[in-house]
Amino acid sequence: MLQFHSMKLINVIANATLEERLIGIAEAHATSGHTVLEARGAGSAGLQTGSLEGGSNILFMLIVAESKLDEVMADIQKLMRRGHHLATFVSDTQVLRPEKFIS
Amino acid sequence: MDVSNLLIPAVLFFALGFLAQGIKSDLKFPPELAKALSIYLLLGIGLKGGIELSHAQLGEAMQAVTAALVLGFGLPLIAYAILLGGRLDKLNASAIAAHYGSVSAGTFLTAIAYLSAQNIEYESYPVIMLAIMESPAIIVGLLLARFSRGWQDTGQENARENRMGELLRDAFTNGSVILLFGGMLIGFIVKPDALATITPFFGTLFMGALSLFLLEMGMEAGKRIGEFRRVGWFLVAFGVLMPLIGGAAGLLVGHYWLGFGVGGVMLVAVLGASASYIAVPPAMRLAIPEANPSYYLTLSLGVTFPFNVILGIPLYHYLAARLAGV
Repeated sequence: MLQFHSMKLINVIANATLEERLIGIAEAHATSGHTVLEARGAGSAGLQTGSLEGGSNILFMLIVAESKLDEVMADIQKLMRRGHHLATFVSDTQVLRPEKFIS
Repeated sequence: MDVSNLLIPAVLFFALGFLAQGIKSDLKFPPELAKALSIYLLLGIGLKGGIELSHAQLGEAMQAVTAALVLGFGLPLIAYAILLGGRLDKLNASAIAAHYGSVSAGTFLTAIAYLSAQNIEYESYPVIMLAIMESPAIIVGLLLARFSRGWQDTGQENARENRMGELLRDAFTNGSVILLFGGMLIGFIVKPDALATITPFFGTLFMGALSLFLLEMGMEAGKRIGEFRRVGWFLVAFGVLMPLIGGAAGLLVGHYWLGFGVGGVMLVAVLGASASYIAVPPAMRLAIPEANPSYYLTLSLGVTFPFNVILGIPLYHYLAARLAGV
């Protein structure tokens, strides 16, 4: 029987120009790593086709321990308060090696 | 105006992309291709400018640089005033104004293709002006936004967006600026013999690559038509009016101030008329996050770019010829 451990998965869909800032937030909270995917779509910021830098989105993913969730999300919320168009959602997730996500 | 002048590959490829989108074709470009092509085109145009600059007159070049700065700093202010007159909020007006003071290399290159197809000579200085005009409007946009947020409100939420030093660095280290100026510097300092090795790639293939880029941009422009309702008809009308104002300013500067011939005057008009959709949108994304990207991308790419490529370029050519009395 495999042993799963509960963690939180933070997803942020934002313009590609915000990638560095999101990585900065992840690093500031001593998380152990992150994943960035290119993304396309549409929303309050209009059409994001991915063909031009100003219209290209990313999906930024970060797995953290529940104890860290609030502090990381507070920083992401600051970006939203500044007016950045981004969508963020958190989901429960299960991992096999929790130590991989705790630095 | 002779409409048959529009039958050049660059314009037709653009129209093809637009049409493909209109008839809902499943034609798709890999998204990275447009970005790769824009890097190639900006470097290529920078190189060409640098080569020209290496045998240019310093005095004339300085005049062109000054004129480019005047247009780059002045046009966004006019755009901002019109947008505020239309009751747009200040932050969206600042972001859109920055796009209209800056330039579109895609439009400029289409204009060059248009002139080359008709064997019309043009001065080399507008290429330098293109590189110069990338940044000033970004700075004006940043200042307008800073002004709109209020000078007192510096410590709070918008701390980063209000830090001018950082924002100015962003304006000058913008990818497009690095490619244009970097290409220009390399074209300027490298000896012609040494440049010959890269000429097939950046010279002979250039217009073919431009055609591919315009095909993709035609599709991108077509996709934005659906956004017209969201941005509202005032802004769509602005997207046609502003290039006419900028084009008129460019015609006057090119003819009366710089004393260029028909081709050169037309190119300065195109610089004044075009709106950026490569360099400025990401800069505004970071500097004026409160503005709606749907507004400025729809306007510069969906309205002004097609207008300039299809109607603007032949119109500016016609007017430049009238000014010159040809």
